[in-house]
Amino acid sequence: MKYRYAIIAFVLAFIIQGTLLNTIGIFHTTPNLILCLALSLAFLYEDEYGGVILGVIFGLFTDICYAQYVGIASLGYLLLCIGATLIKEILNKENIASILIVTAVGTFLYNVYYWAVMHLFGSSYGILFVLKQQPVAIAYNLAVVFIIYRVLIKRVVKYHYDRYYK
Amino acid sequence: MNWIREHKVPVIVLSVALVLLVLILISFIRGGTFFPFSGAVQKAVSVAENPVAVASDTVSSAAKGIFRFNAIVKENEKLKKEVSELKNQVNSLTLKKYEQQELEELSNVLNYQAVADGKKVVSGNVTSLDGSNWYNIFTIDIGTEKGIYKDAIVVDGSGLIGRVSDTGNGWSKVTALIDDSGKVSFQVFRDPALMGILKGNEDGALSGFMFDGSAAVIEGDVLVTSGIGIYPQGIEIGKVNSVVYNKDTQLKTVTVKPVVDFAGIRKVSVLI
Repeated sequence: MKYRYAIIAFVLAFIIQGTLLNTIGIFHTTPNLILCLALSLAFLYEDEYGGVILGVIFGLFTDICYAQYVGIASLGYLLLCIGATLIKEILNKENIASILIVTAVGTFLYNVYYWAVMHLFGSSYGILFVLKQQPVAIAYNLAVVFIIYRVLIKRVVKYHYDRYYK
Repeated sequence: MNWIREHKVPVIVLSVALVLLVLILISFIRGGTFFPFSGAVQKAVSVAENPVAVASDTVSSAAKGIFRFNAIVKENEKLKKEVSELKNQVNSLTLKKYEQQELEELSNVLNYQAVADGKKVVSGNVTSLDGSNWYNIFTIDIGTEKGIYKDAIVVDGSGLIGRVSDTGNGWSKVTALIDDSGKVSFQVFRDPALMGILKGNEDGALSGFMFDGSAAVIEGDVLVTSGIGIYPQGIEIGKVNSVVYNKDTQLKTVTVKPVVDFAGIRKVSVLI
């Protein structure tokens, strides 16, 4: 993927995340577009670190603009993208189930990691409060990643429905 | 050196992770964000997000108008009733005006100054909300150019929202009351002698305790700020949801539903 397209996608995701998405949230929950983009790029593209780099940079922007402390989201995206890069070696990326499983597990781990760090720093929220939101948050992220996958898979793997490569 | 060259990617990843860890720690120690370019980033993001925020707000209001017509008609009826009740209240308050004048004269004689006295109010729009799904931190489109400073108090038409946690030219970051690790001193509106302390709880609401274990606080009581600490006196915080007396600690604990709907905030006022 060309970096300029990836940057545009991340900028749009960042702007929409803080504004438009909050007006259509269900149960006060919205999809995490930066996480979805970073995870998809890290999982689908071979030998490219665009997803990781942009995930870290836009994670930093998210921390600066919305979070109490700088670096938490950025470090979370870094760990998540590295995890996705490692796990793609054993999963078939042409099968949509692979990326959906990675997204579901990734969303859950990221949110628990975020809660754990904030809890360490004195946040009063309980783990149950966070866990209750996970089904909706995961469902939202799966829907977003499904769309991203449908757009990107044609570029990543040509003729991906053809099982017999020459 | 050869080992580093052979393991370039893991070394870079570890170095970035280490830098981010240090950033988190420094940010925590300094009590908030400190990133060198945070002001410039916030300003740029605020400028970029403002038109999108206005557009999405307009679309959202229009959509609500279409799909919630019946609800809006009912709300209109309810508001008419409220206006009528408020007119009656104005009439009775006019009678108390003379009483207030007397008290003001007395306060001048005693050289008394309330915490909220002399505070100006500036209003702004919410440009963006926190991307995480449970924290309530948001950015507004006014900042130091309007005289806003760190820890300035933020309210809306309903009551207390929180405080400014960071500010710059054209933007301010607001941390909601339920996210703040700090505590708020309150008094019961019905009987200001009943006082206590509140803070955010693990369910995303507020809970706290009464100073006096035998205080006659009841469910439905409205709580307002007491004026002790950074919050001026008399700002509505919320309504008491439940009251429990703990025999072991001899404390009467209260859980409170905040009066402000944090997810629906669009306009705020800052006391400066």
